[in-house]
Amino acid sequence: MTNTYTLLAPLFVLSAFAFLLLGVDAMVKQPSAASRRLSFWLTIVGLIAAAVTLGSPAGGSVLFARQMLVWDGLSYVFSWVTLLTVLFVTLLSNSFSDFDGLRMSTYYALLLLAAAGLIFLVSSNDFLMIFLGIELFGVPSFILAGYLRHQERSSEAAIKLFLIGAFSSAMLVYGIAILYGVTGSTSLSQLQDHSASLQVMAPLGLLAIFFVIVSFGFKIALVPFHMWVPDVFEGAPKPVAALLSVAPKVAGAAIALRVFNLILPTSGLGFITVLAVLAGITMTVGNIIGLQQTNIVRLLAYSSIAHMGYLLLGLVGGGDLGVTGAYMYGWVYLFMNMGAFAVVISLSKTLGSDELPAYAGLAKRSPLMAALLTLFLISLAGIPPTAGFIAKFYVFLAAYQAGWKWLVVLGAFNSVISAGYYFKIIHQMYFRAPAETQPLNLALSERLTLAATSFFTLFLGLAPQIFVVTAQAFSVAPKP
Amino acid sequence: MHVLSLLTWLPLIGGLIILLVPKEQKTAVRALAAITSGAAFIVSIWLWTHFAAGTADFQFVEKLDWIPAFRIRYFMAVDGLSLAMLVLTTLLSLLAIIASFNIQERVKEYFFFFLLLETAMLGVFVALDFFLFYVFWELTLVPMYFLIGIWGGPKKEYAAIKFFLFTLFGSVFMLVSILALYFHSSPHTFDFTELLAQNATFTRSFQILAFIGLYVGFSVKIPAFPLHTWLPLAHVEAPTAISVILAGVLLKMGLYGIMRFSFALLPVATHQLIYYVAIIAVINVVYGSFCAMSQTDIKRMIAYSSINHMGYAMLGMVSLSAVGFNGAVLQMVNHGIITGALFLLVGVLYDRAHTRDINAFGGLGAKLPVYTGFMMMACFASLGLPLLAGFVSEFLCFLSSFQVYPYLAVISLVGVLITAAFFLILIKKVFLGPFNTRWESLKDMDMRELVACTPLLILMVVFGLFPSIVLDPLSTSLTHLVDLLKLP
Repeated sequence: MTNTYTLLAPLFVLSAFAFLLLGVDAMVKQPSAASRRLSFWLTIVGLIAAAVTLGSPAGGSVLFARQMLVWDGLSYVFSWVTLLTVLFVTLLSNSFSDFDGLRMSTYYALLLLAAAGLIFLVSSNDFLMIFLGIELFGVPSFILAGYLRHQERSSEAAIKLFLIGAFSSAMLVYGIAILYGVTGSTSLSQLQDHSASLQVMAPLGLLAIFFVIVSFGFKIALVPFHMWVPDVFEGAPKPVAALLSVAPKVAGAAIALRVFNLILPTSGLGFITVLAVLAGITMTVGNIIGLQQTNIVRLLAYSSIAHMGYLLLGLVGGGDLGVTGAYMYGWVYLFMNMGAFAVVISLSKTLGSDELPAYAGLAKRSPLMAALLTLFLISLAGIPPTAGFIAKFYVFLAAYQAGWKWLVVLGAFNSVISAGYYFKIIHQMYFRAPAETQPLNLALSERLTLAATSFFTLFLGLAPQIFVVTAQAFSVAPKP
Repeated sequence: MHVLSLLTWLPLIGGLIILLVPKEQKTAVRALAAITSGAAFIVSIWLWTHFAAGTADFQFVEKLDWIPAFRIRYFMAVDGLSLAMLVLTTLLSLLAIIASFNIQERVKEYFFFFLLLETAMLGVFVALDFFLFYVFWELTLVPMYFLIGIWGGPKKEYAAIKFFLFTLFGSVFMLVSILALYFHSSPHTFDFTELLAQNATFTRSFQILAFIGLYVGFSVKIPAFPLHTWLPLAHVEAPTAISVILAGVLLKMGLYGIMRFSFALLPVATHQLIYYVAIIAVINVVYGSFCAMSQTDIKRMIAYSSINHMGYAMLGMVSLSAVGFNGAVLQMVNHGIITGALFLLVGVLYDRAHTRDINAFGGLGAKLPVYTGFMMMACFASLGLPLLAGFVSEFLCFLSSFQVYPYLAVISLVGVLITAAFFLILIKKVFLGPFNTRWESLKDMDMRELVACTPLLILMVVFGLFPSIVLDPLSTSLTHLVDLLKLP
């Protein structure tokens, strides 16, 4: 039993700090800089404590908490992605000026709860836990999206996120109910044993899988379930948009990886084709609409949609390469996308606008910021020698090996389309004259985020070997 | 002895040092850039003198594990083909850097991007691991995008992104072919020599698909019809020195890739598809020359003549014979030298007159004797006048293609006529006839321009008289490449 508690420790730690922060909130009468700083540090400590208690599964797989949860390479890798995302978001929130004068303790508490929810989600071994994890992330996340409650757009974002979340949860519940009817259990292990019966009761089994795919599709924001993304990103506070662009999508992909690649790969239901088609549509539609954007946050929103299409190539590819490819893509995407958001967030105060023309002449005003954003964008476009290229290359390898050649060609072609809009930003920064010359200043926490993300974006591109080996060590793909 | 790594990374190291120099110190930045590229040139000459010409083996081999999980290696080596390209690259880079001393805006960034580009270009010619090759190939794109887009002419921004997207479009197809080759080898590898050793196991249909993928990637860079439309724009809008590099080096990367990788790795597909490549070569020659003739902008005319001249090189290449390969490589080198000189010289005129309209001039011969002499010589070399460099290589290309595709060779002779015609029209309109008094105040070439152009003009004569200087070290390697194409 001690084992169970050890494995649950990160969740306990996160929840404990979240409640501590809520307690702090109750004590604070008027929001002040001091209380904001205190909550910030408490959050950082909480995240570090959670990271310390995160035990490495070392290649094995442990079922715990009455077999409701599982601790394996997949949960481990994506728990880290979650914690790092939330850490970066915390750092970026600390100096975000829109939050001035708000009670921040609650905000940070909700961030920690959201992190706990995602860790729950990626280590679920039972559909009920998946549902709980999604809700535990979902409820804090729509409050976070509406945290600037005096701004209409923020409230609009919250409502949209809430409605979409409720809708997709309903879908998931339908799926779970049918699966329970077919297999007599909500456990993933049971489902694995009874995957043959899904095929026997084909129409019903397919319907169940359909509902599950739709509900995961909303979380990962696959086309055609992506409509909420641009509006929510634009309306929500930018650090929350950064959170939503990475954590739930990657975690959603992780749980899809668990369900579709580890539990059901041999069920014969043919849903891999569905995933492949979704991946193709997602990246193509995301990129083509991205071309039309003139607002950088909306542009990054569509780019994040397209990137989930690429990540899905890992799931479609399957096997060792596919699983490690999805790990790799999740990691790399975390750094490059968070980096791009970090630049946008740190500039938003000085530039005062997210429209592309506001970025004109940035290379003259701040050569370093322009260079960093260029690095992240080149990486997002998948051009060597950056991490984005390695990640894309990895999932292409996986999909090619599994025989999805048309998907690889489509993915490669999509890289060209996406370069079209990423370079629109670079174009503004380098080829246009600045409208103003007001100097830019960065807070220390922003500098830290930028340093970390840019380092990994470059380092993973130049020397990926260490990460590839690590990813392979934590691969959970069924051994042939 | 890591001489190839030294050569490849030297420019980038210089570029990084430049970033540390305060931006007011323009002279220091220029000097550093010139010293770095000069050092790279010296290293490449050292390679040239220490290269063993009698063997077709790869020399100066460097092999280190890079990403062992995928058996990706840091594998660099040279044979005769790459050696010629290396020396051409370092020479043109050095001269182009000297020619860019008159750049006044954002000097630091300019030379940084330039040196980064030089590293990437050298890397393309020495990398023998497909993955590494692809990384360098893509790395040429980004600095070139900035160099055209920041320092170019009126339509620079459009030219930059068009260049970028066209090349990226080609290279993703190349990437898919590379992946295919990887999975069709066992054990999976990106290593050129290992792939070569097992290419007999590749089926015919696979070879054809892989060939087409690689060809799309390479042909954008040549540029071969119909993917050539980025070139006139990019050449015209790019600053002078960058046009030199574009025409002199970047275009060669396409043919280099085809000769090195597509042909050697996929011999069955090569024999299957070479006729279509030959037709494209003829289109390049004829269509390119007609397009050039109809231009009134001198730079645009030379840009189209590049399409035409790369067509000659393709003609030599498609003969799949030792003579043809020698002709093609010699044509690549000569075109680099001649067109490099032509772009530099057009830049000289544009800097003074701020127009490149062919009809705006007249009778400059009396006013600018030195410039006129230089320009006429470069034009004559380009149109293939005997005793100058262009003649030998074009002759070899035609000779070899005539043996294989006589009709195509005859059709492409039309291109030669037109080429001669438009260069003579150019000379007549700009340098002969009554003097246009508008240009009374024009000055002849200054020291910087002379230093940049003279070496190229000397080489035009030297290579015209003694082509063996270029060909002797190469021919063994090229003969070997032809032997690889013989089907069992």
